[in-house]
Amino acid sequence: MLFNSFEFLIFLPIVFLLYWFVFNKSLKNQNILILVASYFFYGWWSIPFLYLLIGITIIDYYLAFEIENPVIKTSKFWLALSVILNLGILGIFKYYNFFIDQFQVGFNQLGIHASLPILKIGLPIGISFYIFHGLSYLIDVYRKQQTTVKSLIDYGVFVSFFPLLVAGPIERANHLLPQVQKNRTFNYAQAVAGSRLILWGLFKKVVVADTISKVVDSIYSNYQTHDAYTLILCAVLFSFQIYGDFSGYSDIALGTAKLFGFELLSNFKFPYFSRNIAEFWRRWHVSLSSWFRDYLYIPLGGSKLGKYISIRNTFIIFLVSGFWHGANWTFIVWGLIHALGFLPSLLLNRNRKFTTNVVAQNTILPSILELFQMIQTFVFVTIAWIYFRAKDIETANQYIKKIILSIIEQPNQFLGKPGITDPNGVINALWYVVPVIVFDWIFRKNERELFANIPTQTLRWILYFIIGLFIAFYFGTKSSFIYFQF
Amino acid sequence: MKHFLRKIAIYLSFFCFISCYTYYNSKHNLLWDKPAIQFVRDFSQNDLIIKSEIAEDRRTVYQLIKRNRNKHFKYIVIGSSRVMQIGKFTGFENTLNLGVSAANLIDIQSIYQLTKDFHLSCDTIIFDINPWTVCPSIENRYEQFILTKNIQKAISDITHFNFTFEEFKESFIPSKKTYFKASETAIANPNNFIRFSDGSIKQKTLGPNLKAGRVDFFCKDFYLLKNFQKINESQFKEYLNLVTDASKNQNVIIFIPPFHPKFQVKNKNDIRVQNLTLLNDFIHQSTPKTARIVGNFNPETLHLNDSNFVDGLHINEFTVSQLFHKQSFYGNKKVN
Repeated sequence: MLFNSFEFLIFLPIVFLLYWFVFNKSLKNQNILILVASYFFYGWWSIPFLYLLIGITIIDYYLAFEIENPVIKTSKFWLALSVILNLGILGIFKYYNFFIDQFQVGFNQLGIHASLPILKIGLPIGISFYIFHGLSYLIDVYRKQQTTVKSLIDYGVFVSFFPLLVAGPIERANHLLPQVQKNRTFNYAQAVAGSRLILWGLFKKVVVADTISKVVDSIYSNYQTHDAYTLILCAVLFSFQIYGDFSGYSDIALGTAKLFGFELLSNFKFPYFSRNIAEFWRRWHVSLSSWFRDYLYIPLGGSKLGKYISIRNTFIIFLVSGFWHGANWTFIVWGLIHALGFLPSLLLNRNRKFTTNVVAQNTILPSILELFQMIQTFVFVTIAWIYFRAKDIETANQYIKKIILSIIEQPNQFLGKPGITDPNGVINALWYVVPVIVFDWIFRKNERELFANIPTQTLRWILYFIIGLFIAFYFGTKSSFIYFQF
Repeated sequence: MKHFLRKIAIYLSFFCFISCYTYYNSKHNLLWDKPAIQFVRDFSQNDLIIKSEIAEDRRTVYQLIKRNRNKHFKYIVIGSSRVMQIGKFTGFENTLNLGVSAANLIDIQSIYQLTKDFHLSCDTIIFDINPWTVCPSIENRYEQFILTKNIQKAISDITHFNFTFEEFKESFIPSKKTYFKASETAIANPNNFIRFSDGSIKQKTLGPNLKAGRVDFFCKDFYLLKNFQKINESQFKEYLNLVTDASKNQNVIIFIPPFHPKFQVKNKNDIRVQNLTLLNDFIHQSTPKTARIVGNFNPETLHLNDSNFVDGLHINEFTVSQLFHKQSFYGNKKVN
């Protein structure tokens, strides 16, 4: 079930009303309802993969008790087993064909013609997300940062809570589980904030990302025929498409969770207002980057074992993070580019520079320096997105080469072009980016309290109606979320 | 909680109202098919010059039948766009033309059934027959009829209603009329597409290049004849059952509309063109004696050439008139 579907429009109010009016007598009842609703939500897409989800949930639940064993050696054994099991399942579904393909290529180059079996099943939606949920719990239990959950239903809710089930945010056991186990009462302010997040998330997804995607898809499908001007704007558009798509999804997830009394981890904190790559990664897909930081970067030694180890670890987590997104070299190169972009900040000890404040903290507009920093970061990120979006590395290289050569050969092509003709719809699509930039700028100090700083209630309601109307106009075209495939 | 639900309800009811209002005024509206009702009302009162039709033609026909319930006509015409010229312009008085584009067997059956349901009667009923009446259809627009009776399909249609800004705008600001009352001069003008008050039409004359292009395209594409690899006997039998049933209460004419000579010549070795001859023979052998047959798929038999055609599929009004009123190529019987 998609958040931007009619099915979800019916599903959400039904579950909401049952949750607060019928199952509100006890915490256990509420959790059972959430679990059943979550499985229904997931099973709507695929029943066989629902069994996989339930199977992994049960296995991890029982493995946690073994990991809790006071004998360190035994505990370590069970942890290793559970990590292998979880990553093994992820690997089979997500990476098996990729590795087989690579082996095949390697064998062919050695003159060995082997025909290796290919797995002909789809990728279970959200598998990377719920496997990481489970791993965070198991590792935290091993580290004694989390006690085992006695109730399988509570654990099931933690892994499968429908707002975050298929595309995150990737929750932590010590953050979500206490909320699952605690009595929840309806909180008006929380529900209002949740509704606002849903509204803004739907706008970013349905109006902005889906509209832009049509232009981007059409240009990427025959990029060879387009000029540099169009390709550059298309790359910029994709930056906003993926942002609208994924942050829109996350906002809806956070908002929906709030309606049920849950606070999920923030996933996006206006990343395109970042002043360097390090800040970008503290604002983009925060739940994933912090997961890698806590469960990979720090165990590898983090930045405490000297500069060399720190650089090595940085490259590892960026490459793994890229690979997490999909079994394609494009994602690995994308991760590599970000690692290279991160490197100067790391070497100059500036990677912790913008940790406490947002851009233009006490002013309405950014300073010239901040503006320059933001543009510089955005340009870098946009170039990296070309690799993320392209179907293979060759395509991405050719795309960039086409831009560069076209500029060298026809340096005057940009003069007077905008507004005259727009055959590919790029200028028109850019208009959809404007409200995102404007509203994100207004909201930038608190990603969880959107619209709270709109001065009057009347103005807020006018905005709600206008945004709602736009969503209604664009709602009919159903399209999936980009991050579902990861 | 109540406060929250009240606010959400107010907010959502605004969109429900806007959606319902837009749906009500849109061409998607099945329950109160406003565009079709209005269109039928307008052309029933006056012959119209049509720039573009505002309603889907099956829905228009449905409303046309409803509007004429319990009425008696001299002729009722049921079939595809290839019979839509049969009407007052081609010499048929007191006619109701219920032709719809690309009509297949289900369309013909549905329309015939609707005429019975709404108690329309006539002296003579004219059906056309085409290759796509007796082979798997490449178009299934008949679903529009099913919608009138199938609630589930109707609900699905409503939920797939695309609430666009254009629809929204048009629900408040009526779009410009795309048809106008036609004077006699306008009707005579070959550049005008006319919808007559009896439901029949007069085609617009195409320029020579455009016409040649359309003929060539049809010769190459085969359009609705794509699947005519063989005659589906059960479909043919169903068609004959319909004719038999219709001939119990009125005279029946089966019209076999010809195809463009170029189509026949260019594709003479194609099985689908060869099947046309076979179907012609079948019709003559199997049609009940009570029904009369006019026309032939083969234009050569009818001595027709390019000037008799509007495009690859449709003969012009003059030829329709000639075929029905002056000559009969099978059975030597005149219609009038």
